[in-house]
Amino acid sequence: MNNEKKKYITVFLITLGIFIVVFVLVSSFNKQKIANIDDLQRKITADLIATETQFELLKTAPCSALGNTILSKELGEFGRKLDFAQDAQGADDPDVIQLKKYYSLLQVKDYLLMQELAEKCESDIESLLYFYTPDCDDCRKQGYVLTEFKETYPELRIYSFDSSLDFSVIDTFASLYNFKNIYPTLIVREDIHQGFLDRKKLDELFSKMISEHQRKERVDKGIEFILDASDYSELTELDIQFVSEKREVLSYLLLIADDEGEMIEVIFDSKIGEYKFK
Amino acid sequence: MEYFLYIFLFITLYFQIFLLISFFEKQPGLEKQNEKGIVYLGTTIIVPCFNEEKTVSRTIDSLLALDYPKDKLTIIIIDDGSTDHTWDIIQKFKDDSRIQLLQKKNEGSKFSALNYSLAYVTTELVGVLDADSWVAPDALKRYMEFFADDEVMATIPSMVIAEPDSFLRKAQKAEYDIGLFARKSFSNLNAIYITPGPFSVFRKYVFDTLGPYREAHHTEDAEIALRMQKNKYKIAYSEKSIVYTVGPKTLTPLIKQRVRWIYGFIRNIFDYKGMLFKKEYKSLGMLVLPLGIFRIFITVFLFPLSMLLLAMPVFKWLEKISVVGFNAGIDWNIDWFFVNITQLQIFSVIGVVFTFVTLWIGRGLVNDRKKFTIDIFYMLFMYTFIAPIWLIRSSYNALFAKKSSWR
Repeated sequence: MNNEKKKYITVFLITLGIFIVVFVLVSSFNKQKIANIDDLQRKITADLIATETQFELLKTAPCSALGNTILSKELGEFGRKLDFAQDAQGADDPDVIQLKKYYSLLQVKDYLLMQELAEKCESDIESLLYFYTPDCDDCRKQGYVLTEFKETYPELRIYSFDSSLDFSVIDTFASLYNFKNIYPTLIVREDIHQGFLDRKKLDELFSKMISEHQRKERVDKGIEFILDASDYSELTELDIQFVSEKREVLSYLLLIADDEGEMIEVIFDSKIGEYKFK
Repeated sequence: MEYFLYIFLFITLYFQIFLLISFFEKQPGLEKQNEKGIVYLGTTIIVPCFNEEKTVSRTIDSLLALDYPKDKLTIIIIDDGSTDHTWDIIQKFKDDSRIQLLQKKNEGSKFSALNYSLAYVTTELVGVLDADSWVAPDALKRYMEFFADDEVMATIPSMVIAEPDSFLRKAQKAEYDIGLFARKSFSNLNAIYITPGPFSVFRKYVFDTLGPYREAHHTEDAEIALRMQKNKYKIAYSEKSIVYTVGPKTLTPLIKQRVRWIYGFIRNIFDYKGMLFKKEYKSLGMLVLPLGIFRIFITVFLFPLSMLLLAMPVFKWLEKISVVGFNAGIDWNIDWFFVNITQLQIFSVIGVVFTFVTLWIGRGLVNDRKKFTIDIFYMLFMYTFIAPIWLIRSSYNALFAKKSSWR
């Protein structure tokens, strides 16, 4: 065999080698991903049954358990993985469609549960119903905004539904609100908003929730401030109870050794964002 | 469809690796000479001019500045019936003993001017230098170590885009530098199939035995090289001989130039199709020429496709930024579940890596210190969005035998 032939063959083998490595790498990677999606499916199915039980259970539970359902914590994570599976395998992949149906069902259950609890405990639970279709550009943008919004305000419950799924539960749900086929459609407290809503508009819609969120943050930071102070270094979080907020003054009750406790007031300067003792 | 794509990719990758391996192969039989041993052969450089009043002086000045014995160098400037002041401008050189001025009526092609001048050549070597290019002082001297080999019938230089001043010229700079890598590989394979207009030098024997330049689809410099290869005449590449050229500044002339080149290349290969897949022409016949054509067509698909695949995640990210602002930023906690990788994306990355490596090698050849500059991205842009235009147009012309115009 002459040198030239040898070279042609060597180059062929190198090229083949690169191809094999690339294909093996990618397929093993994808296999793992498919396993992941299977896993997801199992989890969601299990959760459906769990919700059923929780649903019954929570009807009798005290109101302090509110907002602590396993379901709501994992819903977000499922949603993200599902979005990805849809990207990777296409929206018309039967596995993805099946997963999305399960997921929608799970969301509806959670929604009903929350409605029931809110009524029973007479508390406000802010929620947002979001109807979209996978092929609309504004929906993708809306998705980004909602994800970001949810990260800032985790207490908001966002339920998202793919209207193109052809799933009776979603159709029934949508028909309750009787809106036109324009997407994205967002429903907040029975009000229908159609078309893209930017962050500013969302902020306005949920201004009450946001100010509550900020108040909680202020209170929590005030507690941190007290704990950091050298005079109260022996205290733990559990020893401090928030009492009231009047303008810039936050009052706390400190539970020190004797059972009477001590009232303390902390001033929050919103201009510079600093705390000090009164 | 997908399988076709993978076959294309396979062939492309095969060719790239083949070139890479060839690049590092030692060329047998080329011994370096020391300075004292240089034999300066009598050389005539022909400078054909057609309306080159703006650039011709720089070209001639660079030739006069060549580090080469005065009595061994002749420069023929031929005014090919210019309608501007070219003829008046070149008069200032007429007193130099090395310079000979000729003038003829324009016949619409460069090769007729070259052939007209060939009749005046009496030296052993004869070269061509386009009037829009200029040479480095040691360019000709460095040729001599190649012509010391009696078998070498022509030598070609490293072409570099000088002082790029527009987007397209910068893109062409990176493109030319990458071309140097391929040129070196071809030279190691003894498979150079073009003797470019800027500063290719031949033994006069080539024209005496094979005849003068011929009408060849406005790419006479490719035809003569193929004719030489067909007759087993050796073409060498002197990488340290540097020729500066400018390249079209704007889109329309660039596309016109490329359509002419590629159209000419395809038609010339068609004329010399007897060389394809013939064992006696070795790598040139088996790989370089057939894949040269293949590569033209594949570039139309592969470049835009791979750029699209790589740009997609960036576009998505930008879209996200545009609605939620920068603080959304990048999530550094990458959950591998969310990374979607396809074979094509990996091949795109391999392709880009190859582009960088070949650029690095090409610039190493001409001792360019700035290996990676922004112009490589300009080149990627040019090949993604502009090259398909000239490739499709020239292929169409070649298939339907439509003549492309010279200027």
